[in-house]
Amino acid sequence: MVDETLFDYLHMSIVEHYNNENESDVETASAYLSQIGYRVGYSLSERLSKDNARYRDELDTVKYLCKELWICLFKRQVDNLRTNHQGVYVIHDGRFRLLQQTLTTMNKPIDSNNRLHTLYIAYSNGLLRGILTNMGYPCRVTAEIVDFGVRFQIEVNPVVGQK
Amino acid sequence: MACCVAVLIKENLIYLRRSAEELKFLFLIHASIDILDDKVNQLTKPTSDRDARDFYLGLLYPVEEYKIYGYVSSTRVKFILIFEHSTSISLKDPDIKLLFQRLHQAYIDCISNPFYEPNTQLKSKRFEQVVTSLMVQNDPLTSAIASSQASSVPSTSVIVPTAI
Repeated sequence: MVDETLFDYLHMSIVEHYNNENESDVETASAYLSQIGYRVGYSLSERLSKDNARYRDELDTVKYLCKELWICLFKRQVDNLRTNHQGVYVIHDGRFRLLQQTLTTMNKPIDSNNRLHTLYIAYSNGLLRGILTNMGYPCRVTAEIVDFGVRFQIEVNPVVGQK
Repeated sequence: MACCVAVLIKENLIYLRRSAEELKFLFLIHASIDILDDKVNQLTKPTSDRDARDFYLGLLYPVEEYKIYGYVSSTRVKFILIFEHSTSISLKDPDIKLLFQRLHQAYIDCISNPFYEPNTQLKSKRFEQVVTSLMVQNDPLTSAIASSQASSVPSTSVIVPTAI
């Protein structure tokens, strides 16, 4: 419990830092945060996947991400995973942990146009990208805030995705 | 013990250590990449059962005086160990698997270093230490075992092969 709180504080101050540094530019701040997440996800996936069996294919990997990794990262399972079986996955988390903090402090509903809120999911965005890339599936991840949760859309690129 | 240790990401050699500066190790490593890929593809086929999806892939192929073993993590990092024929007689599969697991753990610790840039050469002291322990580990002992064909090793060694 303590480490979660510490992580939340760290995450908040990193977001705060990049937000102040790039006052006018949400894009740049998001890119920085996403890069940090990518690097973390890259190393973390190596460590966390060590004790599990090998994953058969793309879907198997994404399932593993939703079931086991998500609990590790955000302390809960995802609410919904959808796929078109052509490399696009949509993960919906109805109570996204890193957003709950901002929600309670700001005491108002999450607004997808609020620039600070988009910054709060940039790190997780990169995290997912890093994990999947290291697992052998380079992808593009976009995230949007829906009501109180987040919807991540993952597009796996099958051309570069081999090995 | 092992006379060559190699770590590869895809086809890029990010770490190589060999007992002698010999070119043939490089040939052997490159020749084994295809076999590793082949084995992984077979294991990840939908028909294979879950138990068969171990990271340790066993003996890849024996050449004149060497035996080559492979291990591929779920992130497709390839580890290759080459043993001389004479020393590998006393080694059993579980022992080699253990060696690979130590190497894998050392690799994980190494890339978790925030100053390490992914996909570049591994230059970590601790990783070197682990590799050294895999390579030079009790050479007189292994030769003694090879001669006596006993499978037990005194408790001073880092890896204790289980008597099977």
